Amino acid sequence: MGSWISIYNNSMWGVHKQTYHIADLQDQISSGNRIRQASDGPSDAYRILSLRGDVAQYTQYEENINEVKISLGQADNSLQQLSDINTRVTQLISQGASGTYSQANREAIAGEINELLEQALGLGNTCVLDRYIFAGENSMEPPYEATRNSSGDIVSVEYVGSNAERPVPVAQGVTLSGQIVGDDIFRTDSRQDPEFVGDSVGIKNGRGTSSATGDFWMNISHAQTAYPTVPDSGLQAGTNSNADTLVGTHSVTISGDKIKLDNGSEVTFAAGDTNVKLVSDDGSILNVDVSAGVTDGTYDITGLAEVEIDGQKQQLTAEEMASDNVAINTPDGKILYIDATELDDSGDVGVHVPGTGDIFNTLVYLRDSLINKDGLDETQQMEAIKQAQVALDETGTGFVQRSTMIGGRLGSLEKVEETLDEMKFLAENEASATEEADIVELTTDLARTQTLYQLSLMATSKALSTTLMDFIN
Amino acid sequence: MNFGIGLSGLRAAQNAIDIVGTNLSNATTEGYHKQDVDLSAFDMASTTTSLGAGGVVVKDVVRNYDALLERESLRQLPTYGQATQLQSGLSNIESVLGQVSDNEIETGLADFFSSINQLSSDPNSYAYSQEVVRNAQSLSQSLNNASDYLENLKEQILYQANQTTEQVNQKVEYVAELNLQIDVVIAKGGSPNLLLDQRDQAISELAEYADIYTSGLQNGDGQITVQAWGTPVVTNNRSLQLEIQKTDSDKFGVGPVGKNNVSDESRGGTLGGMMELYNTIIPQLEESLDNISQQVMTTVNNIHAQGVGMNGSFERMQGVGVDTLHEFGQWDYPDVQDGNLAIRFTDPDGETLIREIEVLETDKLSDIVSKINALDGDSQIPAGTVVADTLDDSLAINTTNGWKFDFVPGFSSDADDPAVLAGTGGGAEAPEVSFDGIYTGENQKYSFEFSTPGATAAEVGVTENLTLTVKNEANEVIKIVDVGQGYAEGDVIEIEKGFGIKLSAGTVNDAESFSVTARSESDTSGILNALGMNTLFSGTSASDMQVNEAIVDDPSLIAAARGAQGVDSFNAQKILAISEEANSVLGGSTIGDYHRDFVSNIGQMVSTTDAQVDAADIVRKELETQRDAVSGVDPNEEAAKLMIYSKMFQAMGQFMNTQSEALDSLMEML
Repeated sequence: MGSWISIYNNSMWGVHKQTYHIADLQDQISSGNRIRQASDGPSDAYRILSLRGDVAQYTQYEENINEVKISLGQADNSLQQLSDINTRVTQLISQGASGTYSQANREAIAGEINELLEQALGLGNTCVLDRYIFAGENSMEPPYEATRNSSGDIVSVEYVGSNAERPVPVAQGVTLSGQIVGDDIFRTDSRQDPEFVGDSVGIKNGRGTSSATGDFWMNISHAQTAYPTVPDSGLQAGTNSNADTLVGTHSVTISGDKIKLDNGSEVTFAAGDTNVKLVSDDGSILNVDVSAGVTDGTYDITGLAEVEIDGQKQQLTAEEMASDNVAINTPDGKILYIDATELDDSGDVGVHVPGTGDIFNTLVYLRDSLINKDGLDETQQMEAIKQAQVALDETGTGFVQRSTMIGGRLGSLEKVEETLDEMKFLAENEASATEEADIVELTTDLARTQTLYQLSLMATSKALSTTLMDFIN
Repeated sequence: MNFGIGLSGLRAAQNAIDIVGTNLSNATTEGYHKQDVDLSAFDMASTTTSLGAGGVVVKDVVRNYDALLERESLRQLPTYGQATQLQSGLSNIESVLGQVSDNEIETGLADFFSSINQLSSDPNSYAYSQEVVRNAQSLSQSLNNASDYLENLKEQILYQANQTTEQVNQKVEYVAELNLQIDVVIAKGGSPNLLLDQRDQAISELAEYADIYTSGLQNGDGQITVQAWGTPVVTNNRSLQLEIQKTDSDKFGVGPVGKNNVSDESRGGTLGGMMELYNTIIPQLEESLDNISQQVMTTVNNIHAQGVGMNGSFERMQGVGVDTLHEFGQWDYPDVQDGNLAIRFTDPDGETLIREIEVLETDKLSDIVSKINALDGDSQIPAGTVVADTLDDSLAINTTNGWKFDFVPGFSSDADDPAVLAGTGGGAEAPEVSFDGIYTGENQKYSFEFSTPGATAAEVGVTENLTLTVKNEANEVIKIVDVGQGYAEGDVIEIEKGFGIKLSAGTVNDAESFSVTARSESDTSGILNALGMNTLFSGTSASDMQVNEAIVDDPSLIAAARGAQGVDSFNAQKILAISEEANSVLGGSTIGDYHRDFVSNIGQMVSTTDAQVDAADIVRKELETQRDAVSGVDPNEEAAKLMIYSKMFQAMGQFMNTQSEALDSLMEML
């Protein structure tokens, strides 16, 4: 037997260790966690915190994915409806372009197309979760702005959204946008040279690459007559020259008191006539003043043209009239290059820039063609309608492609989401496995420690229970 | 016959029994050393005629004392004391900063970046902006709390150190007093054993508080010296008082009262543990927290300052109060280095232009104010439009006349090359150049040169084979683009790294050129963060980090966008990327990993200290066991002694009785 203080110290030391261990085991069992604070396993604590951080990040990615999916799902839905509108319009066109339909029938079709146009505009401005999904990153504002006439009908639709998407992180290093650039979706993007339909005015495509897009009408009219001074014919603008319709370069032949425009009828004039009306074989009108005296011969006289697009006018100079590349500014700030060298008549010209059309303005163009806003003859009207058909086919093809693109994005999202789910599950599992206590092992350990504790107490009791003192009488 | 023999035996037995009693009564007294009587035969030849007769005398009462063990115990105690103090302090720290399940800072960081992530999905969402502000406040608060906690802990430790030093002084005085008493007892011929035990116990307790060295203990007198951290605190019966002294570097040491320049190096004892906590461990933890705070502030603010919120550009902005007296280079934090600050101005028509100011480490706030004011009234900014001022020790910028400003990095023509915006063809037909995109490369100047076929004038979008050669600042050709026929004016020409330009229609001459400075960073000096201009956070450390008050008042100021239109989420994504970027100041870790490492390190320190305490405890216990084996009271041994001395007493009594009877017989014979 040792000293009492030794027995006491040993007992207390052992009991203290065991009670501490029992308390620790009890805490692990009751909390279910092996790692409660960093010292329980410093490297495990680091791992658990990292994994928890990963789980939080994956959760946020999943929330982002959900938002993007909602946007893209709605975009796909809108695109499907627009595709339906496109199909319906195509059906209507095939009827409207039929020779059996009267103008009244066509106007009825135009009414339906106008309604479809309004629907399409609404779809273009689809708003989900308070965001205009086709506005690119400018999601707070409606991306399509319609200009309406006094009757409230749409005369043009302009894209005012952003040209950039808004990438959203959906996984580490992976971004996908739920915000779509409407102009990329609703406008085709395979620019080709502009084509002209309608009145045959001799207009051709210029050398430059036009930035103008879609389909629109352009009116060519007489603006001013230019009388060359070399060689000097002596002709001047007649007093009624404001009634001239001459466009382009025409020839005036003077022979004695006879004068004619191109191959039009000869007109006899008197020496002091201040206004002689000449009409060419194509109907162009030129009023001339011969009072200053004229010289026999054939002279080129140019009718300077004025080009009007949606109310925006641009007068061509004599130089431009002779140019094969004249820049015509469109109301939306773009440029249409034309070759004016053979421009020889006034009239309405439909401009179609293949591969650049959008559904809205194509519908406007089609509706106006069906109404025959510009008073075309039936052949020209049919030509315009068919041109719109081509544009619709292009946008329809675009819808299919874009729908495929959105479907692809949704598919990618599904895959990313699946991967994230898996990663999140693994991270949660690993964090739990690292953090959680093995209850069976702990229970066994607890039982063993309790036994040791009891033995220790018993040993202490025994060690102090009997001494020689008990036998001293 | 000599009664003296019996009497000496009775006295010796009585003394021995008293010692047994003393031993038994002190069997559980801490620091008590078992005593034994040292009996010696007493020659009584001078008082008796009996040959060889003699008595017994208690020569000495011996203290069972193993000097080697005692010295080793004293040597180990400061280690044990320091380890237990460290264990206590670190466990306390761990309970606040080392939690795994509910770690405030970890949650704060995760939630903050999560809300930034959410905002990047919709930068125009006011609700998401509010969420960012709330989480930024929570993150700041968690760092404030951690910093406050450590600061309070330091105060507690300092208080505890003062208390402990007071106890040390009391012990030191007590030891000196015991020394005196021991010498007095020895001088009187008494046994100083119990006093020696008291002194040993006092010195042991002292050894738990301080790193001590003793000499002369083994001599068993009052002539000893006790040194604490090398300072003699007890010299025989004289003592020296100690006190806690703060050093210039916010550390503390223990030294003689009134003596300066004490060492703050921690060496043993609970006071040593307190010094280690106060002087080393807590400052390290504080530094780590400051690193986290400063890197969150610096990296987030640098990006945030260069963006705009939902309301776009500013007409007025005021930064935070700063040190206006010293040059930026003399500031501890935030760091300002030589660089440039590009300020973007927007005129009432929405046209933008960028002006740069040079920022130097030798500048003060007043210099920045002057440099900004110098931009006012240049060729394109009307006089009186831009006014910078120092307001409450902060930078304030105001613009008037419908002008606005921000720090969005963008594109600008070289000021020395005005042709870029006017067109290069000379006259109205010259094309205009405009910029597109958000540049992500290094800030640099790109040069553009037209090459026309046949070296004659050519039209953009019309002339065949009109090319534009783009070179970077290193004069490397980035790309050659055909901008003649086939290029539709207004189409974006992608240059590189998000940078694009657009040309309008127009005519150019051969070899005409222009240059554009593309910026991904508007502030290469760190001045915006330093002055708190359009920053999300303000403050200098974990203790004072907070969310900019202007943003708390108006969450729409959260700058998620950096593009020209201010509707993108580029800035939010850049801030989000911080969470995954290696930070050189943090040793290449991300901010999150650095914090996790911080938590793990606390755990590691606790774990290591636990092991140290366990090891020291085992050594201490082993030495204690050995000491108890030598000095502890064994009841059996004492019982045996009791029996023997009791029998001795009885025997001596019987001996004297026998002597008495013999004398009685003799008396009867008379």
